[in-house]
Amino acid sequence: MTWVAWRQARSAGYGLLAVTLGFTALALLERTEELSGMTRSLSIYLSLFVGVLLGAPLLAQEFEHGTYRMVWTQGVTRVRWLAGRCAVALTITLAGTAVVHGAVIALAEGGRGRPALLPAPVDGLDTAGLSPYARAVWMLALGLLAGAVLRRTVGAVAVTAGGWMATQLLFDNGLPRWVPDGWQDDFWAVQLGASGLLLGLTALAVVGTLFALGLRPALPVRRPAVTLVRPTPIRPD
Amino acid sequence: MAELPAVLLTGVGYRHGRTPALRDCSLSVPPGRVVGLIGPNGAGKTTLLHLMVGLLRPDRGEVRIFGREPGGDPAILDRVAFLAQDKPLYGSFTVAETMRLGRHLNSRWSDELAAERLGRLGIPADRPVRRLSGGQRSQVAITLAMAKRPDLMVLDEPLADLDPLRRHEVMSDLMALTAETGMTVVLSSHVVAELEETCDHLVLLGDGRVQLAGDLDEVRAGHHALSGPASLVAALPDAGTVVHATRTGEHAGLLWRSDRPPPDPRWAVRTPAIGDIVLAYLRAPEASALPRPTLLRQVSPGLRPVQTAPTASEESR
Repeated sequence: MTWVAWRQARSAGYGLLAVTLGFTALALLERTEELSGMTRSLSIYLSLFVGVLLGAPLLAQEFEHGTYRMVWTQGVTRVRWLAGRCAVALTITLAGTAVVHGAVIALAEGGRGRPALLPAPVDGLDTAGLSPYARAVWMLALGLLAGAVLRRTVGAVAVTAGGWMATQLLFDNGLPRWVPDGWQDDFWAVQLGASGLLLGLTALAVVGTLFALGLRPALPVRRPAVTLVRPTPIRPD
Repeated sequence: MAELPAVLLTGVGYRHGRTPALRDCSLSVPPGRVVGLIGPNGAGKTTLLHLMVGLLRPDRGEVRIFGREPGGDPAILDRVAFLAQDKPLYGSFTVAETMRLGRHLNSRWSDELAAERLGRLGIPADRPVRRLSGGQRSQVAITLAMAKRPDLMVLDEPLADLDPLRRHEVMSDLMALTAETGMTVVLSSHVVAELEETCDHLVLLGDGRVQLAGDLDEVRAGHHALSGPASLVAALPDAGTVVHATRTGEHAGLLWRSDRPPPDPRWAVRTPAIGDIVLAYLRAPEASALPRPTLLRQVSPGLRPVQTAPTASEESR
């Protein structure tokens, strides 16, 4: 299953690798040029790429090309197949996010005597700590859900992009407004709370995906026993 | 112990949204049969096949493959191969990668079978599937299903986009595999002639209902092509049913279903070809001859088991 999942995620993985390399190059540039935190500001877009390149097409393409009829009739259950594909996609997502996050901290800002792990709170809420990871995983899950429900790649990509904008709105406008004054003092608590919220949404999206694929966990239902009886042929002799 | 049927449907109904696709379908296919599923376009053949392989779940009734529910059961997934009508494959995978997928996802996979078949057909292993011709693609998809070495192979119009030579190849490969492994084959088609020489069991689906199901010999023996004076039609014994009748002036030609031909010697009786029988049923969508699977069912705890006797039901409902 791992090979199949990797083979299917390969081209999206290469796309994400290119994006990651782009961010790394930008971070290296920021080391020598004054870019006023551009790498960090732009790093929020990584999760958009994750959702659009990796998440949205993962299921939508199976439906669009009808290949789910081929792969769901192989000897592996749908749940195991989905788990395998998600595991590979999740690994790619986390690795890509870690590279970009690392590039922001170590390359772009590391050389300038700023505290590496503690950015200015206001713009750090969505780019520090767990946030980048939680956002990327949430975008992946949203892409899956959109693909499972809409069964069309274009639609799934559009919904995922819309979800990304909504998330951004939440971080930019929502959170600073809703949390009590002086939240900057509790930066990490707010930050952790926001990440927790996204991971909660992720869990909901995963459950929704399972439902959309008809994989609701089977409740133990007492089924009537069915026994086959073969009528005894009457032989004249 | 009675051998479990390869396919058992009891009272299966399925709706696509509000449109009923299948109504009260019951059939039982013994293992080892090669079943031709025949029916006009839109009769519900594809829906029925999807139910068999677990891609759909019935709204009513039950589907059992070797006694178990298909779809979620890994033991059944490994034993059932399916070839969908449009032969879906991953276009970016090469032929070799497609076979690797089969090997990774199926525990009974046979590399030798796959390599032998693809080699014999001259399909380049390193070519991406999307760059193959339509016929080659079909062959790759069929090979993927065969090399799984299933106990039940379900094929939805497998021959539709193959030329006559390739059709013959596919059918003889299927027959060889059936002879070797004893697997059950269910294949759908709307071309009767295609199936007559290869199938030994027939399921005729019309407008979402099973009109006719049984071994070809039984079906043939149970039908008689009669021709004679039209005045005799009313006097036919009650033990039979007129499936379809044509009348030209005083002369009537009809397909009569009964265990034995009518006693009246004025009828000229002939054993009809399977094609004629199928055609008669297609022209009379309300006619049906359903062999009901015998089922001993515990209706609910506390009630006595009720045995449904096998009936050659005359009419639909």
